[in-house]
Amino acid sequence: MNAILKVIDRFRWLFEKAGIEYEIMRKILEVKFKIDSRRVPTLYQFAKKPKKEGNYFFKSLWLYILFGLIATPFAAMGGNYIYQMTILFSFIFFILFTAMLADYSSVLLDIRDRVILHTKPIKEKTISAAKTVHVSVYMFFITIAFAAIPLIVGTLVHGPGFAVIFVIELILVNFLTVFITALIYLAVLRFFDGEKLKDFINYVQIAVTIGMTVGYQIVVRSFEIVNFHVALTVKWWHYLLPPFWYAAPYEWFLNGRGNRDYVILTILGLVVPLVALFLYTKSMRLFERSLQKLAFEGGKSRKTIRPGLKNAYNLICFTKEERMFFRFAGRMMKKERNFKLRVYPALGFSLIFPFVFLFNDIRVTDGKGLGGGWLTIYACLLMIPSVVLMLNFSGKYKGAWVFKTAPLNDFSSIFKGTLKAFLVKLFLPIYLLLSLIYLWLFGMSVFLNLVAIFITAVIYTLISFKVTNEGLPFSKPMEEAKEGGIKLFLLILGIGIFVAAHYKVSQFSYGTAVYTLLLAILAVWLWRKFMNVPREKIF
Amino acid sequence: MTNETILSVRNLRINYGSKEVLKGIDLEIKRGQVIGYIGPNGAGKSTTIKILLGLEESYVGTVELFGQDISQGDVTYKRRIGYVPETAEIYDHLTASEYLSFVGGLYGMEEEDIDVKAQKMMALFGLGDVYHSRISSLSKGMRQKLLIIASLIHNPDLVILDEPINGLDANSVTVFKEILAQLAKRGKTIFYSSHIMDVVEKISDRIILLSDGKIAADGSFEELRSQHSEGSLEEIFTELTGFNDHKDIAYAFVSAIEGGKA
Repeated sequence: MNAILKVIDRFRWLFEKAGIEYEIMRKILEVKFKIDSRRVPTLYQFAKKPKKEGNYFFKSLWLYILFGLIATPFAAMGGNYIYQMTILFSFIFFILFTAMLADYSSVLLDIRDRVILHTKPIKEKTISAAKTVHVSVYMFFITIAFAAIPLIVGTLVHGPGFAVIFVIELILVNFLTVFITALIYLAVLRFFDGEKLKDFINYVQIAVTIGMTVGYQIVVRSFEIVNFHVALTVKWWHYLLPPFWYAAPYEWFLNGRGNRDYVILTILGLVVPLVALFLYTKSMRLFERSLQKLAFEGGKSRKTIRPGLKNAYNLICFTKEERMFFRFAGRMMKKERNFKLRVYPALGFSLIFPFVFLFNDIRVTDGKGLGGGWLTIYACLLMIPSVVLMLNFSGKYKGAWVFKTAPLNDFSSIFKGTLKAFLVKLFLPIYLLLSLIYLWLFGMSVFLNLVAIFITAVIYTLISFKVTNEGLPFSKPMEEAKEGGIKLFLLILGIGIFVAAHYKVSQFSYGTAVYTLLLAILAVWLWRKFMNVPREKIF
Repeated sequence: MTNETILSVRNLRINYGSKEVLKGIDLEIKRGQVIGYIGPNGAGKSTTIKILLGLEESYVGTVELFGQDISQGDVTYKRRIGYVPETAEIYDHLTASEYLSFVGGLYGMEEEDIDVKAQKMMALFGLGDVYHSRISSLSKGMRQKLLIIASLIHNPDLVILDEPINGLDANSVTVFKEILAQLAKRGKTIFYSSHIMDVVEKISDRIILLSDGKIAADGSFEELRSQHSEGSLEEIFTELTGFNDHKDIAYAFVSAIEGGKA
């Protein structure tokens, strides 16, 4: 990471011009990178190899390289830039914004080191700048990992002009992502207080996540395929979609189509990030000050459990201990800010993804659908592995000692209660909503299929738990949860097996019924088997 | 010089939501004083400290440190303050040496200076062996000593201590009390906030008792004794905070443990 600091040193004048104490900022960054490199993500903790220092972040980059490889054809296609580059930049925005919201918001919104940093003679600006650079460095590497292969291939196909535009644009896109996110948070911090503020941050994250997905659909649908040629008529709302901004320069400079539309789009792509940067540097101090609001635990709210709900809990959890952990885990999921920051965007995805697949299904088949269109609801299961993984972590992980000192004979009730709380409180509301919509779309005939898919979700949860469990729930520091690694990737691919099996059996009469029954038996069996976590994993 | 005003607070008020935490505080602290800052839980002690350190900015009134109004956005006054936080917040992935060199650096000290001082101070506190160990591997008492060293390494003029002897053994406490006395003799000002009354009673030149957001008493231990009950600081504390039903509460509490037969 020292090399990175040396690169940042080159921009010293820029920071100093903005009124930031560069030496101090550099010291903070040095320490932050050092801390990052010493954190061992739990997924690697049980690896046989001796622990080595080294930033595990870099080991998670291969996933982005893979995504980049998948997107490469769009860089390599013939010269229909406005189409191919819009798609490519949609990918880039999607990847950067999700990384920013899910993994790095916590850095921007961090208030834990207030006592350490704010009590020192340092300007608030400097602390804020250190955070921003910290995040930007990681965003920068994600960008490089993703964009490297498209850049090389695109340059080979389209010449050096492509490389120049692409590199400049990547920098601008990074600015846009980091600063827009920070400005959105700032606005939220200004207008809201206490608990409402924390909730609102989560809503913003979900909204952005959904907005990105819907935006992508709009982007794709903007093009019409006319005689194997993709055409775009620029409409006013295209100016609102950043991927178009970054596709336009290619048309202008490489295809020589410098018409009014493309010029305006290009200018937007240049001006908006710079304005965001300017606004952000102006408001950095305000940002740090407003963060204090997050520290304030305000508002007394006292809710008692409704008696009806209590009875419902008795139906779900069979022992007293299990009920207790069910309620505890449910509250952690609802109230623990760090957990929500990581998980709620994923919930947003699972609500919107089924429809993305559904629309594509309808589009590809000219509105008829494949008949198996209801299978797209499986997409909402994709969030399960990462959320189950997150159940290991908490911002207040140290509190987990209470489990160990409590006179519990049977630790399995902790896990049972927690997983049931996940299924009932996080997954089920989304699934029920989707199910109602799917029943309305596809008719009552898919009812049994939806039941089968719910049981699959239970099984999938159990498998994810078995693969990702690291001991007691909420007992590992949230900072170690940066990357899921290959396990998550394989788990997510694994859902394909269930989809394929379900599709196959649904072709036979009574196939689904038998399949549902088998799934139910499997679920019960796995539930009994996987919940007995060995003691040495807990202590 | 000896009569220099280090801290001056006038009509300091702050609200959290609708709750008024500080209800008008006036304070004037001279150089070389050891101030014991006491008060019941929730009286506003930590809030006062947060304001002094610039962590809390939504207050009303004026706060001047070393003659500088701290609300003007200039943070240079913090250079002359050392602070031991009540919550032992620390980057425990670092080693003690790395942490001290980082904190010293934030105060604008030179790397070698820090190292020389830190090694000496660590050795004197019996932490010489763990200078290059990760903080996460240190015991609670060792961490607390490290926090104390970190708060003093830049030779501050005002030391703000919030429960600084948490987790220290009796011998270390004796050393620490003596350090405070000698620092005060050399013209440093100590602002000591704590719930441990007999320590406050012994080290302080002046005791300030905060109760319900207001200053309920201000003076040396002898003065407080002559004005109030002739007992220990603890007795003065209970008297001034109007607390005299401890026996009843304890009785009800124990009854509650045994099943609520009051």
